[in-house]
Amino acid sequence: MHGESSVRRPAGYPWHMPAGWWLKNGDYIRYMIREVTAVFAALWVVAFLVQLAGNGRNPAAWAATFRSPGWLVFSIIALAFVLYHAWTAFTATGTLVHLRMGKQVVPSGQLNGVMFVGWAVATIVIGAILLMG
Amino acid sequence: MRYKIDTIEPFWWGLFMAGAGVIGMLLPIHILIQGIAAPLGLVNPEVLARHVVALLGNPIVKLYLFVLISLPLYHWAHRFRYFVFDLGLRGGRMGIAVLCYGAAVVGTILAALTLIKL
Repeated sequence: MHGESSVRRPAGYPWHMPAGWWLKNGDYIRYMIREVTAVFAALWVVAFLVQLAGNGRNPAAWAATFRSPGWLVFSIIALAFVLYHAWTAFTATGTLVHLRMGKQVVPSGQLNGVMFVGWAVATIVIGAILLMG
Repeated sequence: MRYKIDTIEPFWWGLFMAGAGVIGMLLPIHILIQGIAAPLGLVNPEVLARHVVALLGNPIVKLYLFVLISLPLYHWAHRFRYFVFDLGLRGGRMGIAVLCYGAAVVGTILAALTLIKL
């Protein structure tokens, strides 16, 4: 049948690791921190969505949101996690992607560099639009 | 029990990777300006508020915001699903997947409705 192999295997993956396996090694801890970055990114966009729904097109309401100390604290924490996500994603690109230009393999460092250039361009363009209106 | 290949996994993984790109490429500058520079007074909150309100009148900006809000939710859903498994939660894998991806779908619908109404 399509979508099924003929090999009989136990359901799911067998789990042999203790719950605190990730605390035993700095690399594992950084891996789990990277996993958590997605939580803060999602929380920030959800908060932004709530602001969009609540503030609508009311400039005074938006200004009050932008002055909120709680919003500042949460955003500082979220930015730290999001930047960690960005750094680890961009520096891993050359390892994850195998790209050829003709017969030449593009070096991993160049692929990482392209990601950082793209990031810089996106940051400048979005920043300019937000600041200039 | 027969080993069933998860044929929908590439669909969620695709949204997960697209969300990873949005979070890395687009989100930092939004957090920096809207969440840090404005509250600290480095950017005038009233001026930024007027800019945001003016931008919300543009349909292309609304489409952009839809992408900015929805794709990180799928990134979270896919990653969190495996995060709880990594923490040792062995049971209820299907339930966790439904909750995570379901939350992302609900968030996507709410984002679309909110942006359409603006």
